[in-house]
Amino acid sequence: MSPETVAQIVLTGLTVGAMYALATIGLSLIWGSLGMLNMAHGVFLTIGGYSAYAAVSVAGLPWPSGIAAALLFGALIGLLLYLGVVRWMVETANFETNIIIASFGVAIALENSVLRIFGGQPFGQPLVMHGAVDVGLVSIPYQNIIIIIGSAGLMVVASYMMRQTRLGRAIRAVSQQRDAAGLMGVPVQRIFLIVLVFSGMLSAISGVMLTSSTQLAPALGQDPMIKAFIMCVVAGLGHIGGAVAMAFALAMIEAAAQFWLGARWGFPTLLTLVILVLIVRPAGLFGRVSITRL
Amino acid sequence: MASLLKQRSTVDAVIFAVLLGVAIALPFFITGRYYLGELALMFTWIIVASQWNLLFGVAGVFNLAHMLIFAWGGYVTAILGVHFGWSYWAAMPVGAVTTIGFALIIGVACLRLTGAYVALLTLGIAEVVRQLIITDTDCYVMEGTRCVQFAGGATGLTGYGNFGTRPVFRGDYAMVDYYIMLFATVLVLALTYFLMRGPIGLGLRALGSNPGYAISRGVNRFKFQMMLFGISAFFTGVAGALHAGRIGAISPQAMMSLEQLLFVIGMVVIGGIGKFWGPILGAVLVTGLNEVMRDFGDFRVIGQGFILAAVVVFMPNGIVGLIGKLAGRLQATQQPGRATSEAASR
Repeated sequence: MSPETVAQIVLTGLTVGAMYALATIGLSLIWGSLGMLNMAHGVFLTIGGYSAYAAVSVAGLPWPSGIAAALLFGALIGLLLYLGVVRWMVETANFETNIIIASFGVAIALENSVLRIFGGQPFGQPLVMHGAVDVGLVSIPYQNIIIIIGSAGLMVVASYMMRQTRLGRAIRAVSQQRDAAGLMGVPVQRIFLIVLVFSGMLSAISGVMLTSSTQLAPALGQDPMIKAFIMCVVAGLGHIGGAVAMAFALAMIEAAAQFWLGARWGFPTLLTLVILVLIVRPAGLFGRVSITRL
Repeated sequence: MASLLKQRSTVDAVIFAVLLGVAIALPFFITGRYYLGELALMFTWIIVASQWNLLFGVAGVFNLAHMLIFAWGGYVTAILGVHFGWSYWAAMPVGAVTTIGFALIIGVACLRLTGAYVALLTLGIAEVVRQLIITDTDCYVMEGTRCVQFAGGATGLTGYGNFGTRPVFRGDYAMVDYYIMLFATVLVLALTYFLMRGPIGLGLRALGSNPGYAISRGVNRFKFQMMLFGISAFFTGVAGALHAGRIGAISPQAMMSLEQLLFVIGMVVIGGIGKFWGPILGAVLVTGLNEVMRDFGDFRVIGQGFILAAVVVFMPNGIVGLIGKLAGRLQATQQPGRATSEAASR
């Protein structure tokens, strides 16, 4: 195995891992704080990517407006999901499973709306930085550097908010015991709203960065979403830091498997590994098995 | 309590008989091949939805690889026909039976997981297999200049035969196909009914509603979950194999796309999760709605997605749940004291 090969695998793993991490953050945030598995997460990514495209390529605005548009529409879609679905279901029985089905319905509807508005043909993301920097053995495109730094930045923002702020404390309280948090004066419904809007914005930015190295297509969010699910599951649902670490680790393994076994076998290898991990540790690597009174 | 139970099964038997009568009589009124085909397809979805209901509604196993299991029955049948020259009716039982083994593997992988973890893992498995089939470019055989992959790649497989009713019954083959599907559906539903109302259903329900308590009372989770995966997969596999035989062609898009999964989940949710009649009513309504909305193009899927979300939000127990609630209220006015148990059980 030549050093070039190793360097190439590590670089691919880093870039792909950063993209998985990007896809994971918003999802992990919603799951961890609300116990809500958001099947519309992939559409959050898609809408982020398309709003940047619409602002810059279609409307012809300068590039920062692309990011602004992504943030705006990300927040909007989070708000709509809250107003239309989540708000009515928070207090109901079987929230955790019913919300999966409801958000799945919303996801399919929104994805097909994007298909309806923009058509099925793929577009290029206008917010791209061309060029590359040579680092000894390999050359790294600027775009990949932006993705890696961007994912780390978003992760820091999300963890800082969760750990250090008053809002984060309220969110963690709701996640631990919703009723008790409510009784202590935490506005539970408003927390749900804030988390959904915030996650929508984070995911939309992730979507812009994800599409900058691939292409815009209505179903673009599906694949990263499923990968993000896998990362979250193996890390333990709701563990943001763990999910990001897993994103990088599993992306390295996937890159190595793709190199030795062929591109098709990367994801299957990954999933087999995940299944084995889950058989030994059903709550994921970082997840704690919660002991509840029956 | 015993008389109540008896009464309930009598009501179910009457509904069953009436529906069966209507289903048998339908081809005498609807003769168009297209509509007979759509009705036969509806029967396929009734089987698939009733088995997903068994998994999720009764036992609480959130299996998102259900369409993969459905596809497995069809794919094994088709592969045996295309590559090994088996006749359809010889390959079909093999397709259905091997589904059990495949589902048990998924069952073992999910055994220690609960709730959303099961949903995510099964979704991952389904997606991996779908992608492996779609991205397959190695030609297993060449048909003239056409490359045929082992599992048919992104386009799917065809030319493995079908029910074989066309040469025998000529113009009436659609009607015969309809009755074949009806027969299979009635058989599967009857077995599912006794399963749900019998001791196995009771054990599954206990595991679904409170696993810890059920296990502590001696319900063997491993045994029940394996049984659940095996049985539901067998019936779903039968549906898949029959579907493949009726259509004569299979494709990844038609058999295991996310949209199809949404379609089936939609039937169960709209009809009523966990109720025997739920998926049946749901399948009838959703296929009917699908037919009415056929002219709407892309808006059809958009509408279906929003309808599904709206039903979950505002009618989480589905239409059957709503009817049960109304019937319970009606009885409460007539016979106070009996209504609660009736409303809760139906």
